[in-house]
Amino acid sequence: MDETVIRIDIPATHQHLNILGACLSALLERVDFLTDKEMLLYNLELALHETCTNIVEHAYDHHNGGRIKASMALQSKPERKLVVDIHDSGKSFVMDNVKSPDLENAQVHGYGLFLMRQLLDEVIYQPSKANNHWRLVKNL
Amino acid sequence: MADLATFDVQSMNRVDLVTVSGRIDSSNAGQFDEILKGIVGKGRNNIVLEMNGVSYMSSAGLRALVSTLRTCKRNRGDLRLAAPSERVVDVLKLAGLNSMFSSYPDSVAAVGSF
Repeated sequence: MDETVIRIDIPATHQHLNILGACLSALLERVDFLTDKEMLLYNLELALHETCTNIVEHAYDHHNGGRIKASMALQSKPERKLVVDIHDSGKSFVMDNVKSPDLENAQVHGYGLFLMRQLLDEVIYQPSKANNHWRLVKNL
Repeated sequence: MADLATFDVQSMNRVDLVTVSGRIDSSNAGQFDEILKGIVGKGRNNIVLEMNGVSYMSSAGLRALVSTLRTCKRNRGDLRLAAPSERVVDVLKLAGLNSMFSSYPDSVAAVGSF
């Protein structure tokens, strides 16, 4: 399997986010010998959705006009993995300042980033004034 | 592509039964939350959510569940789950919330538990 890259650019609205999940599913359907492919697809779609929901709600603060640019790359060397890079031009934040949910006392917010970290092998966020960059990595 | 969520509410003597199916994500979790808030807004704080047909739930759906559970408990009621799908159970476990909700094999058992 050589590196395969898909690039997609969508409006940053909740109504468009499932396009990314559908695209990711179609890409991974081509990969052979994945363990529990259905669950893997579901979990990756969920992680991607949580990332982009964060962008819509926090980076763009629900304002229309923002864009989400994503590239999804299947890499085979040195290890087989999926690398998703997501860019937005909204407000940035300091990831270390986001607290994990207090699981002893159910709280309403804070589950998105927590779920992403549970579902992925790497979650990297590089804030920038005009180009915030998320890198999501899942070993396959 | 995504299947749309459907919500059906039945008011019973002591309990409101909400049957949810399809995909709950950030595009429709607001509608889900409003339906649940509408029920507790009428002073009805015993709710059963029948979730057997839920194919996908993101953290936006979790927020609606947790927010309603907290309100119900504050008003001496409860939000209980009936036949949650594997996907719902998985995301509750991932978020560490599975022990927070009472879960029953079907809606008859869940409604009868109140």
